[in-house]
Amino acid sequence: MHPILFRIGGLPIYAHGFFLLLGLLVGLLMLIMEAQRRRWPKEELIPIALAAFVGGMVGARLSILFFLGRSTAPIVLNMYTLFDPRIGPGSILGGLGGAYVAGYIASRAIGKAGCACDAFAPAIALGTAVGRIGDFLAAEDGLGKATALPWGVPAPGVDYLVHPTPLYDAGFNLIWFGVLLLLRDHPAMQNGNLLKLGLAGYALFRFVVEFVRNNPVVAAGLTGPQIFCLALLLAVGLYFARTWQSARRPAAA
Amino acid sequence: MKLTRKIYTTRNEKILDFVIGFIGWCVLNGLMYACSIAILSNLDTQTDILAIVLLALPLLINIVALILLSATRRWIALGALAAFALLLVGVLLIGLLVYAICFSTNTFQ
Repeated sequence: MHPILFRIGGLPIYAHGFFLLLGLLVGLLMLIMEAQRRRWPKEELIPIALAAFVGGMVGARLSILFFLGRSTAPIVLNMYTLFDPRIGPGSILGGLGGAYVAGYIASRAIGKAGCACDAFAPAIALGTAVGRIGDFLAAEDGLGKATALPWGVPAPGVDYLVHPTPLYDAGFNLIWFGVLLLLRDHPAMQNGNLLKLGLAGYALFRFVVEFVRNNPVVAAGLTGPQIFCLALLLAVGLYFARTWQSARRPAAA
Repeated sequence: MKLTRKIYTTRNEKILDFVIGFIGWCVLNGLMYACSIAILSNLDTQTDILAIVLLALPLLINIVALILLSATRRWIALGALAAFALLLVGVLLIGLLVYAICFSTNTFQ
């Protein structure tokens, strides 16, 4: 692994921080391009994106309390540790949840009619794909469980090969980014549906990949992120079922 | 309690509220940070429930204040959000040069 990516004048540039920042920048660039394509005015984009960013950072940290347990409370609940660069931001799942809630509140506050949040969907997938490269290079959380598969990689502190789960994540998100780009103009994927599909797709993938990650089991043989993913899938499933049911009703009448 | 939304009529009103939000967030959180350091230095944050509640208070106050302000004086909320986001971006930039410990099952053992 390569926790230090390169050095500038003797100063180490860490892979985790580098790809986290690069992922956010790439995601922001994609969001701006998509917002322009959708003619989404900057008066709406800026407050919603700002709220989503702050909400995402807070959500990423708070979700750790659920995923890793009460022992994390002194760090997770202390807002000021968010400004300590020695502590990683937290979970991407919690970040997505926090960003969604904060973005929703901001969009209601500015009185936005309809939902332009679909512009976020491809940006999230692309940003995550980039950010996960840093997790791999930093060998975050020991990468994954032991494997005898040919693509197993060595991890620090163990003498066996493990699943390179951050690379699975990066690969999935890159493909998912392409799928979301293809679907972005589909009539059924407007008014927030593309974002919901994007989140549900990632939740489904993450539920499966969690079986080879190192997160602790919380209940019913499932990890915290898996329970979170199931709840998210249920919520999105109910939303789509209700939406499609109400869309079919006038036609049947 | 009925919340009434301020209607902004001029650009100056928006700028003034934005600056109030930006500076107000920095001052308020600076004070809360100082208080939390002073109070929590005498408490055990691993076992003391009161300490954990006090620890969580600034985050709770920030979230509630941002939601209430977004419904009433949204340019103050935007200013506060901008200050929050700016500090986070600064941390991300410093994060390039600092080895960050990620949350994992071993972090807290």
